[in-house]
Amino acid sequence: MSACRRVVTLLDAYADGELEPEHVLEMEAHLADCHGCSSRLQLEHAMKKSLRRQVYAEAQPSEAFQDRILASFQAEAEREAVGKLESSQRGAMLSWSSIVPLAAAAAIALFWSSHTDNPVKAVSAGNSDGNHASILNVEQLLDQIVDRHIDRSKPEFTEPALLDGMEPEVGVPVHFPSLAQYGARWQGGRIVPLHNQNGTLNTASLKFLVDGHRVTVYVYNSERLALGSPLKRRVVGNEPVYTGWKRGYSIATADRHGVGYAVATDLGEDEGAEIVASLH
Amino acid sequence: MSHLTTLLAVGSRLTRSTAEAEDLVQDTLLKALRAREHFTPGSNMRAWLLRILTNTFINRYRRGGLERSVLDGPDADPLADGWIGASTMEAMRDPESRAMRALLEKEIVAALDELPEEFRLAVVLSDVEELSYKEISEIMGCPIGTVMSRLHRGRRLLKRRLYDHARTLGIVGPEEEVGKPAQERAGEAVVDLSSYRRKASNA
Repeated sequence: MSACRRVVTLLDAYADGELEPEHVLEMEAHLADCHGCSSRLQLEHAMKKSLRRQVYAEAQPSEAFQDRILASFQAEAEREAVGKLESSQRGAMLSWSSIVPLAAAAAIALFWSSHTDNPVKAVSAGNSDGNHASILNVEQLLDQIVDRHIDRSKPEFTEPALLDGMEPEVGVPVHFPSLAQYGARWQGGRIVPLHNQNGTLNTASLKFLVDGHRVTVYVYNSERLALGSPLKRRVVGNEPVYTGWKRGYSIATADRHGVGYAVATDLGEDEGAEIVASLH
Repeated sequence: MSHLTTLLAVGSRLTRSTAEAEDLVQDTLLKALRAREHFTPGSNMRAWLLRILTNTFINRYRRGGLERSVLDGPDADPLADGWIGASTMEAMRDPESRAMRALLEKEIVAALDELPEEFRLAVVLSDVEELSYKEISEIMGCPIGTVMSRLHRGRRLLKRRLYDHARTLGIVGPEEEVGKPAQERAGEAVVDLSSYRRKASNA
């Protein structure tokens, strides 16, 4: 039996890195001598490389598909939570503790194991130029949102009925957010002006405590203030939201019919996303 | 590369349709989510997801298992790429041959899609996903020897298609002496009847 004939049957395994060590030396000695077999090997490698590149070039998940998958995870998480709730009757906190870790684990496993995220995305026409300056500008606004989240000054009011009175100053309707399902305790509200190069915009700042962790909800006119761009887009229960971190605090934002919501929390990114998605 | 992209890439080649691949991937992920306690932490999650994808595909589209090929039997010809002569092969892999490179890039997925499913999946799992023979045998539910044979045959068919295409386009010339690596030709005795016939018919 000729050397080539012997070697050809082992060439696949060699190219795949699966050849037993006792044959590797023989194979390499032959490849060094035999132009035909080393051509074969190079063709194998060239084909693998082209295959890998082309198969992936034709299979980039569209944004619509990613949204669909995230929405189906969320629906599945909610189904599971309802199932557990019905079997245990232990109250609303259970849905909080089971939905979030499941959705988070699934999302991290599937989407953010890659380092090719596309975090820069403008949220509304006000920021559609998407240039560097406007992103810096949004970073400054996020800074202020964090400043006011950790600010310990007393609220202007603690009476939920007074929220309606903020409407003229903020320019959009301000409703009392029902965060009861998270066991949130209402702390009080105040008008918070945010400053950027275009001027000052008043927002309603509403403070809560969830299990000892601070949660600040901001309500604002999203046509004059777009906070999505440096954050990551994701979908929570069919609602697109933007999440990220600023100085160790998680921030989540959403836009509902021209009303902007931003949540700054001491909790994690997923909790922030969950809360902001529940606001409307 | 995220797992979502991986599943979509493999699913697209299995179904040969983006819309069907998206449905398949969604089913796969929901199944994986429901079965997540069965995943062993620290093991290869990509291989685990690909096994679920393959099983979902078979249950959904192929009740009786993957499409088989009449070619899937004992390998009669150990001389793998006997039908491609050495100089042709050089033309095919020559990085300076821009025409050939363009052809590889353009036609390789179409050529892959023409392979019978069992070969196609083996080639995708090995060449695209770079899984080990053992992982592929677990995903496809067959012995390692079968994986190797499917891979070998799949790759051979793939090369054949690309070669035929290159011939049609005039990128490579006609096959010279079939069945023999160049340096073997001189002085080698014909070892069996079929290679004798091949040699004779090409003379």
